[in-house]
Amino acid sequence: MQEAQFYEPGTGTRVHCLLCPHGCQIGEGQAGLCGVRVNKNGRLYSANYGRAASVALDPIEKKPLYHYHPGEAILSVGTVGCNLACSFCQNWTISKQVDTPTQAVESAELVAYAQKLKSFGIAYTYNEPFIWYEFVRETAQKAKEEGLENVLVTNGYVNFEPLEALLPFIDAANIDLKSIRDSFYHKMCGGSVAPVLETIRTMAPACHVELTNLIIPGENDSEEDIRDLVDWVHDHVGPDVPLHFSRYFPCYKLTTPPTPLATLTKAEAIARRKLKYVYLGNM
Amino acid sequence: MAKVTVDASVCVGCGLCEQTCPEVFEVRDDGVAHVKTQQCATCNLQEVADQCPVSCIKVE
Repeated sequence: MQEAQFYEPGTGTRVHCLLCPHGCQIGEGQAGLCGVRVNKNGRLYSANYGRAASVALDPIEKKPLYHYHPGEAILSVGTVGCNLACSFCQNWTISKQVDTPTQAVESAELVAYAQKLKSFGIAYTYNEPFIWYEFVRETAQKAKEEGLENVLVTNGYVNFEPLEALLPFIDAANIDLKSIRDSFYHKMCGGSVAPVLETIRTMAPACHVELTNLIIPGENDSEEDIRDLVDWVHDHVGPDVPLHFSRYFPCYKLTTPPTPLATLTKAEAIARRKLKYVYLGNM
Repeated sequence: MAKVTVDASVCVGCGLCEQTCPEVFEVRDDGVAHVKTQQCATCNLQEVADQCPVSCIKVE
């Protein structure tokens, strides 16, 4: 296991993780709520360092990124763990079951594999890449040195300092904006909206950014929810940032029926009044 | 009356419960959440428990 970055001694034998806004106080032998940052004898370790749950060559549109290397495929890697706890998680077998089997991978090996496949870069995706931090940073740096590009598909739930240290290696990101309401993040995700908005504001001027909003009936699908989210995007990162509305399907703990198509087309119409690039996905 | 407890061996002190209901929950110097009082006039404590990312709050 690799020692983690961004932590300090906590109270007693605990360590205080500074990677994400949760700021977990992790007890001896315990993991943070991400499930993958572990306190061993007062030191914090990244348990998923060099472990991949999934390695595949995907169309870039699957991330989704529509305005970045269109029509190309990208080597996509992910591991286990997540620092949110969304009841509707569409990837819960890897995000919330951290004992899902993984394979050993090395940064150099992934970079060489991307080159062999003639992929233009590497996408860190499937689970939350920020809680794979040390491995992602190491791999992204090596990839960059070889002329490859790096893509993050993320929930945006990270502290400023680690984000800033990773950003020089990142070329593009799709960031989830699950709702503009803090109450949604509290109720559905075990988090808050403010850090996500901060990440979007930090990343949008630094690299190519597209946003995804998964619309769930009765939770974040009102006209007001959509309008406020669209207004925020327009006012803070501008009308050129592409916004993807994604259709929800019942998953993990949530049994609400799938989003009606009419809800998505209505959201699209609202967004088009202010934003230039609006897409519907997962239809 | 419902009894609210926090399993301190599981809690990671992220403070979400305290953000949602500061009346009942408080993260103290030992790094974990504590139950200050068993009742809140405005919060549904079962909902607060359901929102805990490590499921360490029980309402019985």
